[in-house]
Amino acid sequence: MANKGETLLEVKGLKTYFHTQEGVVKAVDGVSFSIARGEALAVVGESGCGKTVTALSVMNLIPDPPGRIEEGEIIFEGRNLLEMNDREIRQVRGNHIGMIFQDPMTSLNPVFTIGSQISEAVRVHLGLSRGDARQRAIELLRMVEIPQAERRYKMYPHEFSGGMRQRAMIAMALSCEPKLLIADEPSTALDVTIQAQIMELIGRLREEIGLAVMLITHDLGVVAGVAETVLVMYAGKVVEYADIDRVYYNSRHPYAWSLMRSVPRLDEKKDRLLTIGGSPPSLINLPPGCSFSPRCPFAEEVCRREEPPLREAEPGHLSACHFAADFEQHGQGVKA
Amino acid sequence: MAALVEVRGIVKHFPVGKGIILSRLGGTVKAVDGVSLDVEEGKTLGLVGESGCGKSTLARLMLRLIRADRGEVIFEGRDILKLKRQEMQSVRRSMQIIFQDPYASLNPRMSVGSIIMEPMAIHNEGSKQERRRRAVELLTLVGLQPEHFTRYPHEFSGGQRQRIGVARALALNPRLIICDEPVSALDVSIQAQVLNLLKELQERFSLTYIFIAHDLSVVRYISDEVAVMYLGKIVERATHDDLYGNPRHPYTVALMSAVPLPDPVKERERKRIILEGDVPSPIDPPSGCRFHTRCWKRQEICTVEEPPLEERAPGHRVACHFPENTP
Amino acid sequence: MSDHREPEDFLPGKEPDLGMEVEEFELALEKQRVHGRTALWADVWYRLRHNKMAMVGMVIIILLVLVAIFAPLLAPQDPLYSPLYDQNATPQEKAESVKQPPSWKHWLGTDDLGRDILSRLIYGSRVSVEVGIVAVLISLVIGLFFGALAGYFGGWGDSVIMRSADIFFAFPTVLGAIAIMTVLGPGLINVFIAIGVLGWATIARIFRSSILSVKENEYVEAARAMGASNTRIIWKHIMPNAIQPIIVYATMGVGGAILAEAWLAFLGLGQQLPTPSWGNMLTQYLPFYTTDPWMMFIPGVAIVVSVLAFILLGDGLRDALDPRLKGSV
Repeated sequence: MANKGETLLEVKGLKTYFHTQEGVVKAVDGVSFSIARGEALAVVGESGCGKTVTALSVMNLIPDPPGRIEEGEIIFEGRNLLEMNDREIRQVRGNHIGMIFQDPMTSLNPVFTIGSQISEAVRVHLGLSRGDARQRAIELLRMVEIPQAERRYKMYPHEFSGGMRQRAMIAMALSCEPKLLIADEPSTALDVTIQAQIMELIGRLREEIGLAVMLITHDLGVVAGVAETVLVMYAGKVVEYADIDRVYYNSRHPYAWSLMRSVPRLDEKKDRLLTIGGSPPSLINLPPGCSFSPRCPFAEEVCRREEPPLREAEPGHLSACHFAADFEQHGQGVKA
Repeated sequence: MAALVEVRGIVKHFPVGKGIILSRLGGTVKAVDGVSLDVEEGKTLGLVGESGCGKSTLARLMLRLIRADRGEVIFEGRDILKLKRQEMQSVRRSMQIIFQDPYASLNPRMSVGSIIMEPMAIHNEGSKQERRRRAVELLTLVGLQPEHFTRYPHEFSGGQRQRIGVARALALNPRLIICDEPVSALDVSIQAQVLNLLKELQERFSLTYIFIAHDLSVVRYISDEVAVMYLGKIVERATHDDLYGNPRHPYTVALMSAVPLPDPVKERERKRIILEGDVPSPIDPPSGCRFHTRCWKRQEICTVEEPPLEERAPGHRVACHFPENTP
Repeated sequence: MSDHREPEDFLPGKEPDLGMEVEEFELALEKQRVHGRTALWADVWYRLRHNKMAMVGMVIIILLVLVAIFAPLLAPQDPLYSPLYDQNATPQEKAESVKQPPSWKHWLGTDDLGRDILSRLIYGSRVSVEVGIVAVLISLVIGLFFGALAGYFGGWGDSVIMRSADIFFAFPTVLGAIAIMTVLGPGLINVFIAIGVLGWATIARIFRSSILSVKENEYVEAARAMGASNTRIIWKHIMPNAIQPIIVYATMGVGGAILAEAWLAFLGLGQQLPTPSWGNMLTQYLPFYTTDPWMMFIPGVAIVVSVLAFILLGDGLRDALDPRLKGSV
């Protein structure tokens, strides 16, 4: 965990459950992490691992019912969001935390122009006049590198390409100068060359306005280019949490370890990919012991019996594996 | 070795606008605009491009799921675009397709068994008993279990459904399988399973693949040869090692540069080529070289004259006036 | 699921390892197939059962159908029996028999001719149920045929069919029915035809759009790539997946047909007196609505409750059939 500055957001023991007909879905089950000012944290995991629900919990946007934050604290600049009333939370959500989603089309209203949607956000949160808001909106469009900002201001979402819409979403999220940007799979729906543009833009904004970023993604490549710290989630829990180089080059959890080796890479010719057998478990019916044990190539008796706690495998490197401390040797032994 | 399938100058333009009168006026989407390629038996051709480049249309043209405006598709020595319905039926046995979306490509109202047996039923292959036996065999082959025969698609995860799709494609012992983004809808940890399965099956049954993807890393893993498409045309075509080691078309270079590497140190040191703007509309593609609007090497000639797909090195064809990495 | 298994050394033609004897496996397959097919509908039934309002509707519908079937057993009296025309009745009995309020002898009272209202209501349910079912069946046969034609093949046929449907949409159902009834003449059979024929347009339109969306699915393209014929694609792949909105609409449509029959009968175009239907009972009791409003109230409530029951069930079916709810979390 890079501890480079003052803590901006701290999440402690967050539990978000969904109460469905089939049973209780423990979408997020005891997740803790923190983000310092200007830090970029990546939350990595497969679909259904709870990464999006974690982000929505931070924004207090969990649909209730069926969802509910059962336990935990979400401390943003020293204040617990879970103890605030609706008005105060809206204040924080609008003024201090911005969020962008995978599909910008669903978060933009198709019947209003891009410009009016951004200036609306500016007016609500900053209390500017109509003219000033318009000015600010155009500035924001320029900031996210939308060419011909004045002309684009008057256009509707459907007249924008996918990449442009995502830029517009970012502009809207930035409209009230947030300190934290939560980006939920911001580039997944985009083409590779456009994805590169968007990630470049996010990186630039971090440098220019000192924005902290919580990046939620399944793409290990995108993470490598942006994040400083990585939080790996599996079946609603944190399984590994450390700075990026440690996770990528010296992983102490078999899930992250095998995931790195199972992706095809542009810069390497591989004959066979390592595979992780099976599929992620159903959150209603988790296996006993470690959730990853049925798929784990190194699993032993103890893994199926006892759930490993998240603890330090080495200073600043948390892992939830029984063999985290001597993972390298253990892994080598099993492989050989 | 001879080419199993060869495409020559295939063209497909879709009319824009609905109705019979308007379509004449509204212009056309030049989805595939004169593509030629060939694949050797037992090899994999990777077809890469961004959305809207025409790669999926090309796949459907080759399977004759949509009618081509012009061009030929030579399969097993015959131009299948000229075959009669009855003759085409026998060709369909040898060409199959695997789709991108494992949720939409299996009929939710049919059991897994009947899904896999359907191609055999259509082509009157074997008795009911034999079809069943073969379906169970295929289930095992793709890593599922015999008892899955009677289950329904919604009971399976995405990766398992994709395995069912693979089993269905294999049912008639085809020679060519077109894989249309078969892993891009799957979770990271599942992609490797399906990719390895496809590779194993190819080795075992000497299948020929045309593997369509937007992800260059996936294509690198699976392909022997790679063709890069941009706005309905092939811009570069080379063997796997040549293309990845020595990309020549600026678009290929930019595309490779845009792919993020799961390697933080390399990522930090990397100099990226960030292309400006979006892919232009295929309704009104740019004049000359179609890539010139986004190209950093463009000269006067690029806007006027379309570069032909020429062999610049043995087995390495590029459509560019000023290719990179040229000695 | 721990279903994953690496492909073992296994070649086509080799006996697959079933983990059991071949006969045993065949038997298990047969059993599971029955189970599997029911499982799909069991899913729908499960969701429907947990919808209280839909269950209320369903109970009412079952009761309604039972009442219609067993009307001769349930009715306390002949619905046509009137003491006024009974030569054995004394003049005093005749005088006291008309417009009786509810009593132990006549649970819902008697009408202006001294007939038992409950018995007439019970027999009247037969007309409603018949009209509901027959009219909707007629609409379905015509609507599904043309809807499928328009949706699957498109082109000119589509335009012609859909424009003809538009003509049917242009005037309100009841006005259209009145027009048809005027041509055909009054009578129950003609009510079936009028309501049935008018209903096809909506069904065709719903089925067409449902087919259009199902047609876009990759599994239809997959079937085509395999070389499946049009007939096979329509029957195996499109129909089973496109029929759901029709099930919902047809259920609600039965309620609509019952209401339409009541309308026509009220205007004197439906079931002719003295045979009772809920609609003509309304007409018959209309003159007494100031003095004895309860008489009109009875067939009115019957109509409203049954129409509502079909709407509730249809609504529940819509939720239960929604494929978006299907599948794993």
